[in-house]
Parts: sequence; structure tokens; C-alpha cells
Amino acid sequence: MLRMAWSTFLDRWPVFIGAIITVAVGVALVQASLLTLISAVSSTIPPGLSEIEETAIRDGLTNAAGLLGMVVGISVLVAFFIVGSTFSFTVAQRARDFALLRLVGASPRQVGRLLLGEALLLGSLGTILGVLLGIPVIRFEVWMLTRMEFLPAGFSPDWHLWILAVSAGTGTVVAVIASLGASHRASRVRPLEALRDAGGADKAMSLSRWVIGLIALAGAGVLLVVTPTRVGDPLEVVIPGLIVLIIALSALTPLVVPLIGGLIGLVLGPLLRQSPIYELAHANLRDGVRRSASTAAPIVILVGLVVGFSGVVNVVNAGIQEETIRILDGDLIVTATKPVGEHLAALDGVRTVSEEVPLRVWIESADTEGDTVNGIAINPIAYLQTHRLSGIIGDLTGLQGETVALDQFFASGLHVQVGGMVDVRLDGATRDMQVIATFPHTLSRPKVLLPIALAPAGDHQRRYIIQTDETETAASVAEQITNTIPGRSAGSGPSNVSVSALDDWVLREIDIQGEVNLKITIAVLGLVTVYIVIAMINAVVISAAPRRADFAIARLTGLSRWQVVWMAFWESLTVVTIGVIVGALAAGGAIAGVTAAVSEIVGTRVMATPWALFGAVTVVAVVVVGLTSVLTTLAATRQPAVEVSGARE
Amino acid sequence: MNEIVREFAPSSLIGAIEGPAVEFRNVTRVYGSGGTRVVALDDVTVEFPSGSWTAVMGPSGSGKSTLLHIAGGLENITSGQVLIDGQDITDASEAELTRLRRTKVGFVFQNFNLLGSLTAEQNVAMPLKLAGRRRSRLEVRAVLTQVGLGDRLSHKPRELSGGQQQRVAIARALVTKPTVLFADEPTGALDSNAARAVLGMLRSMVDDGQTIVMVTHDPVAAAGADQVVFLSDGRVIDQMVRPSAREVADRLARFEE
Ligand SMILES: Nc1ncnc2c1ncn2[C@@H]1O[C@H](COP(=O)(O)OP(=O)(O)OP(=O)(O)O)[C@@H](O)[C@H]1O
Ligand SMILES: [Mg+2]
Repeated sequence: MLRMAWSTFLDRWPVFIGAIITVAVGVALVQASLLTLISAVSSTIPPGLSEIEETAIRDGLTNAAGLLGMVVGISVLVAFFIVGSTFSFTVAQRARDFALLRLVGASPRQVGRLLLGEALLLGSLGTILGVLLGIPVIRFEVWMLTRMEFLPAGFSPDWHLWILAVSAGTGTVVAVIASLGASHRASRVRPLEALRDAGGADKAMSLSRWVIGLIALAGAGVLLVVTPTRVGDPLEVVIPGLIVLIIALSALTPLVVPLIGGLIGLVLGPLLRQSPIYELAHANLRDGVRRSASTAAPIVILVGLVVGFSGVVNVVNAGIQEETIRILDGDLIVTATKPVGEHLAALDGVRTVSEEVPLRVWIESADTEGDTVNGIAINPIAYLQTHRLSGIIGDLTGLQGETVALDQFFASGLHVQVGGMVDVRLDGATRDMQVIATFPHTLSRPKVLLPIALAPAGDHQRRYIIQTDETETAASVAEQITNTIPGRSAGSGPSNVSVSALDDWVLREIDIQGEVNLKITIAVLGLVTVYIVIAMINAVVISAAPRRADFAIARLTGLSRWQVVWMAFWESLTVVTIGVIVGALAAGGAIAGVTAAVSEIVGTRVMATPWALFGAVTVVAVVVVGLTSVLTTLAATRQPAVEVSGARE
Repeated sequence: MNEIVREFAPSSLIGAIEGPAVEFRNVTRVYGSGGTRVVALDDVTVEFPSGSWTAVMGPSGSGKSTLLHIAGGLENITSGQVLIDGQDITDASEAELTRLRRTKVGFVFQNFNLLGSLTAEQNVAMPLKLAGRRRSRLEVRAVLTQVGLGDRLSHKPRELSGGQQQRVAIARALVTKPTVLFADEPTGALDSNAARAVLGMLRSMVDDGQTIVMVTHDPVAAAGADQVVFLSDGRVIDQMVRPSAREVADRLARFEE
């Protein structure tokens, strides 16, 4: 039996190598991010650091853990998807073999088991390779995350022996579960199919595609349309929504293949009628709907995930910009690490100074578990003068003593209303505090306002928003600050004061956030993208493998070798078009969902579409798929046509 | 039990006890519906006697392949009843049909249908492996030698000529010692020499008691059979016993009118 498996392997190696590679890269990716995640969660902070430094490191590790959790999740999902579609390929290409086995007495279960056995074998081989490949991948991942400052410098992942078991489990489980569908399909191949020419009557849309597609579509609808405005952070549901939408649209891709094919035919109709090559390419495409859909699948994921993810993040950032500009009402902003409020208020031309001290506070109510959130300590009167807030419930001016004001969404999450009580932990002390007011929900603003008296007196990051009066220009006030601030004069210790025009500062902060977002996108999707591109190449190679006979017949009919290559290239361009359009639909759905939610929260229409990225991803897909197609077709047509064609089959 | 008996007794003997190897009772098969409705078999009642060789003839599209597929349990019927070796397979489950393929029927087709990645020997051994039978290499080699390919055991299909491939397919169909061998145009892709060799082989098997049902367009091939059944438009319109090639050709010529 082993020898038979080996000879089957020799005959079908592109398909099997494809399956092994997809499992191996998937395992390497999951193993690397899981190991980094575990190390980040369990790493201890070196002693002897100041509280600020310690908090910074702890926050950094928490963020890194969240990020890595997302990487693990996406890697596992993409691995399932890609390994699954590779195995479907192996079945589609061997339907005739399976039918033949059925004809000579194999039971459906035997055929199904054969495929599962293969999956187990390929999964194990892939896993072994993947564990080895995982080692440089971990190094790279840690290097990348450290460079992007998501991980503290000098972070090193601890190697756990049990991670081997996890990797082995991951590889095998992914391979076997992902191949269940393919195995089921293989077992359903009817013996009579061995007698027909290539499975022409093969239904493009299987029942399971319909079921998965429609259920996922409904799920995506809920996640993208209904929930984004009902959770604190729209990204929490929009990112899963994007992934579910990608799954839905991939399952439904065969539906759009003829549609888009027809559309391209319509646009290029005159060309198609003139050249037999285009005509043939077009007919092939229609005949192989499932093959086209499977080849397009990784392109759908690539476009959907990369464009969707960064698009969604961009929209939120644009929303934050709108919101910040709308709410802040001042001329200058001063940041410092020591209190300089009194000094600022005494300057000529300064009308109002609002001090804000950002704090991390832990807060809980009688009904809910505690949570750590961003808060600021403020002087309510100055704050109300420098912030345009409408829709406050309660009296914010009474914010002093043991009182807090809460974001309305956050308050309802805590099940408290104005007048209710919450426990607030700050600087290690827990206080019973009354909710004096609630203010409208925002995307990015602090969830908790505290009386300024609770701000730490010593070294701490603080901000001052300044309104100037008509007697002096903002520029001259800024100059006064720069010249007279205590930190500037020698001897009174550094207070790291800097002054900016408020609008400039907002734009700069947004830019910084944009850069962080880009880093997050690269950190989350960078390696996954490499994986998807490998899967794209794989899909093209695998789908060309069983077409040698087709190509040979085309050449015997009178096409030159280059015409065959051109035909296959044309086909692959159409497949890319299909993948890009379906992927863009997925990305567009998620972007539309988050845009609606953000616009509702911010109060004005927010627009941010990542056209440039979309263009770049499309170019990558065209180049990768086109080049692979040309090379594989060249390789497949190297032999003289007669040797390959059906004549000897 | 039955199998053991068959291995030692000529199946003609068993056939004599058990009646016809395959029996069609008012079998109708309709494909499609509405505008694309095709009646491929129309109320066919026919028997294929045990230990004999029946040729099925008729114009293209007359339902010959359909009849063969139904007899072998590869295709469902719309109405009627089909019995193989006395067993009603009309409503057989997938498991029963699988068992049927392992023990009672063997197939040979025009386009050989070998597994391209396996050698001749592996192809022939496959049905035994699938049935989980103790496989003896000797048995497999004996069958391949019987079809004249004892020296081509480890050749792959692509390294064999068309006639040789067809003989591997016949060896594969015979290795399970089926009650009936179904062959759809087994000589259709062969030149006259190779065809003659295959037909001679079939004849000697029938003489050893094998039941064969063969679809063919070739009057010479049909003349080798014990009886010929003529189909037209899905109906059995004539039967002949041991006709000459000439008689068959004349009968076929009358279809043209
Ligand atoms: N799967 C199918 N779906 C629809 N119609 C079919 C199908 N299979 C066969 N037919 C129709 O049934 C009729 C009989 O077909 P069949 O293959 O049995 O003919 P045949 O006698 O074997 O012809 P030939 O000598 O050309 O092989 C034909 O008209 C054919 O078009
Ligand atoms: Mg036929």
C-alpha cells in the first residue's frame, strides 16, 4: 500500500507538494505567533524600574498580547481555509481516479478514508517541516515586533517543549479537519463518473457552499451592520465581521465566476470574436467554474484581508481626527511632565487654561466586573470651556471630591446612572465614588473624568489646553511660554515642556496614530500575507497540473506553444479579476459597516478608502499570478504534445 | 460460502441452478424532463443467461451503454426491476452495490480506465485489496499471464499499447471472478489484430463458464457471441442466437431505413 501511495505521489506531486507547503507554512506561522504570545503574557518585568517605566512596559506587553492573539487567530483561520481549499483541489483533480476505484469495488467510506489518510500523511510531513520552518519565523516575528516597539527591547521568546505538541496537533488537526469536506466530496464521487469525460456535469455550487455562504453572510450582516454602534469599540466586531464576510463571499465565489466572465466578455467582445485564443480561454473559464473559484480563493483573502483591515483601521482613525477637532476648542496646547498650570494662567493674553492629566483607572460597579480604562483628571469649569460637549446628563461642574463623570456607553456597560456609585482604584487606593454626570460616547476620548485633585502631584504626563484672548495672538503667547516656562530656566529640573498650535498638534497626533496603525497592520498581516501569496502561487501551479492533456490537445489543434501560454495567462488574469472583485466586495462591506458606525458616533460623515493600497495589492496579485501562470504553462508544454495528449492515456 | 463454491465450480453450473445471470423486467430509464426528456430505455424485458456471451447492438444513442450501466448497478432506473444472479438490485443501497461490484460484476470499457499512476500488476490487484481479500501475488500474476501480459507486470498504463491496456483492464475485471463481465465496446479503440486477440480471450473465458454481456458496433465481434440483442430507441427489437457476422451486418443494415 505504501508503495502505491508513493507512486501516486510521484504522479501527482504538484498537488501533494502544494498541500504539504500550505500545512508547513501554516504550522510555522501559528507556532511562531503562539510562542511569542505565550512569552509576552508570561514574561516578568525586570525589577528596579520607575512606576512610569513599569506601566509603560506592562501596557506594551498587554497590547502586544492583544496583537499576537489576533495574529494567532488570523493565522489559524487562514491556515484552515487555505489547506482546505488545497485539499478540495486534490479531490477535484482526481475525481476520475476515485470514480474508478468505486467502479472496481471501493466503498464510499474507503475512498473517504483514503483521502483522510492522505491528509494525515501530508499533514504530518507538513508539520515536521513547519516546526523547523517555525524557528526562523519566530526569530523574524520577534525581531519585527521589537523593531516596531510592540515588544520591549531584549525580549526573547522562551522555547517550551510542549509547543512541539501544540504545533504537531495544529498541523495534523488543521490538515484533517480542513480535508473533511474534501473527503466527504471524494466519497460522494459516483462510479459512473469514471466513464464520462472530465467531470463536466460537476455542479459549481455545492449544497455546503450554499449553506456556509449564506450562514456566514447573515453572520457578517449582523457583525457589520447591526452591532458596530452597540459596542464600545467598533473594531471589536468589524474585524471579525470582515473575516466572516470573506468566508461568505469565498464560498459564494462560483456564483460570480460566470457573471464576471460574462462581463469581461462583454467589454472585450470585439477582441474575443477575432481571436480563437481568447475564445478558448473564455470557454475554459466557464467550463471550470470550480477550478476558477478555487484559484481565485487566495486572491479573495488577500484583497479582503489586507485592504479590508487597513481600510477599517483608517476609517476609525479618520473618525478620531474628526471627533478630536470637533470637541477641542482652544488655540494652544502645552504638554509637560510637571504642573505648570498656574504659571500658564498668569501669562498675558491667556484666557483659559484647562489642565488634563491622563490616568489609567480601574473601575467597577456593584453589578459588573472591574476593568482598566483611560481616564483624565480635570478642572470641570475650564474643561467645559475648552471642550464642545453636548448631551451631558447631570452637572459636570460638580466634579470634585469623591465624584466621577463617565462616558455614557461605558456607564451603561457598568449598569450605573447619574447618582449611582462605582469603585475606582487609583494609585493602589480604592475609592467609593459617585457618578456626577455622564457625557456622550466617543471613539477615542477618555471614558472617565476625575477631579483634578486626584492627579498625582509629581512627575506625570499632563496637557494644558489654552484659549487666548484678543489682546495677544496665539503665536506671541506661545513664544512667552517657551521663554518663561520654569523647566526652561536652569536649575528647576526638566519639565519637558512643549507648545504647539492645537490644530497642528491634533494632526500630528493623528499622523503618529496612523503610523502606529500601519505598524499594527504589518505586524498582524505581514506574515499572513506572505502565506497567502504562497497559497496563490500554489493554486495556480496545482490548477495547471492536470491540464497538460488539455494544453497538448490545444497544440495538436494548431495552437503554438506561446499561444497556449498566452491563453493560460489570459485565463489567469480573468481569475485575478474575479478574486480582486470579490475581495474588494468583502473589504468594501467591512469598510461600509465601520464607516456607518463611526459616522454615527462622530456625528459627521467620515470617508477614508484605501485606494492606493487596493491598487498595490491588485498589482501584486496580477504579477504573482500572471508570472506563475506563464512559468507553469511553459513547464507543462515542454514535452511534445503527442506524448501528453489523450492518445496515451 | 457462495464465493468458495464458485471458485471451484464452473459458473455455468451455478447458472444452471440459479437461472439467468442478469434479468431486466420492464425496465424504463428516463433522463431529464420537459424539453430535454430522453427515454433511454423503454420497457425493456430481457435475460442474459449464465455462462453465455451476449452481444448488445444498435445504432448510436439507442441505449446500449445505459442498459449496461443499469445491469452493473452503476445507474438508477425509473421503473421496472433488475436482478443480478437472482438478487434484486432495483432498490439496493450503496453498500449492497459496493458488495455487488466486489463479487458479482466486473467492467471493461472502451477507454480502458486504468489508474495511470499504478503498474499493471497494481491495477489488477486493486479490486482484491479494496475487498480486503487475502491477496496472493501469484493469483494476480496468473490472471495477467492468462491475458498474455506476464512480462509487463511493472509497466504503467502509459508504457503499454492500447491493446495491452485493454487486456490489463480485462485482467482487472476477472481477478475477482465475477458472476458477470460487462464490456462496453472493448474493441472499439483497438486495431483488428488487437481486437481479435481480445475477442479470442473473451471466447475462451466463456468456454470456461464466464458470463459476458458486451456492447459492440462490430458485426465480427458480435458473431463471436452466443446471442445478439438488438436495441433501437431504447427498445429491444430483435434477438439472434449464434448468428454469423453476415447475418448481423444485414440486420444492422435494416436499421438504416
Ligand atoms: N446522463 C445523461 N443525461 C441525459 N441523457 C443521457 C445521459 N446518458 C445518456 N443519455 C441519453 O440516453 C440515450 C442513450 O444513450 P446511451 O449512451 O445508452 O447510447 P448508446 O447506445 O450507448 O450510444 P453509442 O453507441 O453512441 O455509445 C442517448 O440519447 C443519450 O443522449
Ligand atoms: Mg455507448
